[in-house]
Amino acid sequence: MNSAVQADNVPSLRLREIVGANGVGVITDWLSRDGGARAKFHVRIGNLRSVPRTSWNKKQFHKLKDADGICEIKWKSGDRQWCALGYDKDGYFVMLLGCTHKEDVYDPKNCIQTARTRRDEVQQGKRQIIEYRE
Amino acid sequence: MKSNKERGKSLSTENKLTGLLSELQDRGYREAYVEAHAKDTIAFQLRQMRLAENWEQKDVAAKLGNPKLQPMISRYENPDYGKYSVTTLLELAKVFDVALVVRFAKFSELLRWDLHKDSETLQPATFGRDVELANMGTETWMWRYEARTQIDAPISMTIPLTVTEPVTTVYTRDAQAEFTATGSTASFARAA
Repeated sequence: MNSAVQADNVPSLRLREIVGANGVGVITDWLSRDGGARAKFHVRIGNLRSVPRTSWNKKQFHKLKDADGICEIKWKSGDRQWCALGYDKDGYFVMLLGCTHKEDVYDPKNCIQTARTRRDEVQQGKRQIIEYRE
Repeated sequence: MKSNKERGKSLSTENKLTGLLSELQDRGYREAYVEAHAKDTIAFQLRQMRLAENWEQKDVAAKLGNPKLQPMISRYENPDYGKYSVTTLLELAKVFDVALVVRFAKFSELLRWDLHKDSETLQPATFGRDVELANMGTETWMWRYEARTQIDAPISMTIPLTVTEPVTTVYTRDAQAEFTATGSTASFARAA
């Protein structure tokens, strides 16, 4: 059994992101600081899109434990792991927050809790969602 | 006539191209883009080809001649690993009966490949199942023409043609592409 099989009813990978306080998508803003990480993210999502979701590997896409459906798209750039945290909504993967980690040090520290809070804000209509543009 | 889905895909490809052309001006992006394509794509392909055969990683290792190589197959399927040996990749190409292309290329070539990548690209057919190979040298040719309009918007078309006689082609970026097919002549000139 493929451990990465999650939400098979969601077709491929269509991305949206929430808008931050500065009016820019949070992932667009976060990745704008690092061209290398951005390139690797774009190639990764392109490859994920090209294969059935049922064959994704948990090293690329992972449902977090005890996080109420929050998942992460994972990739490596430089000496650290990069993650875009989000959840499935209306056929889209809505990205809520970006974070990096190296060994056990997460940046930002409480990223999973922040992602949960933001998801709740989306559900309550307090957050604007936009298409993620590569 | 294109369906809405095709129109949507075409538009999305154009948007992606515009974005990529801009991003590639950044050297950091450019270098990581090349690296990610090399590492990510190999890992995805290995996994897809293995799943298509219903093989476990240990089966691939056994076909390489050593079942103890399973951990290596696992690493090779990890897109963040990337420490591939060309010799091992050649051995894996034999196992899956596919070709392996390792060479330097222009960015435009990589871009074109990226934009038109699909599930078949990531799961290349084995020699025996390669339908395009069977059709090569017979009748159907795919012509691709690319140009820019006066407003500098990219145009691209893929045109299937049945060729009835040897094709004479004149193709330069600044002039025109010309060929004869099925009794009629078609030509596409680059916009001024």
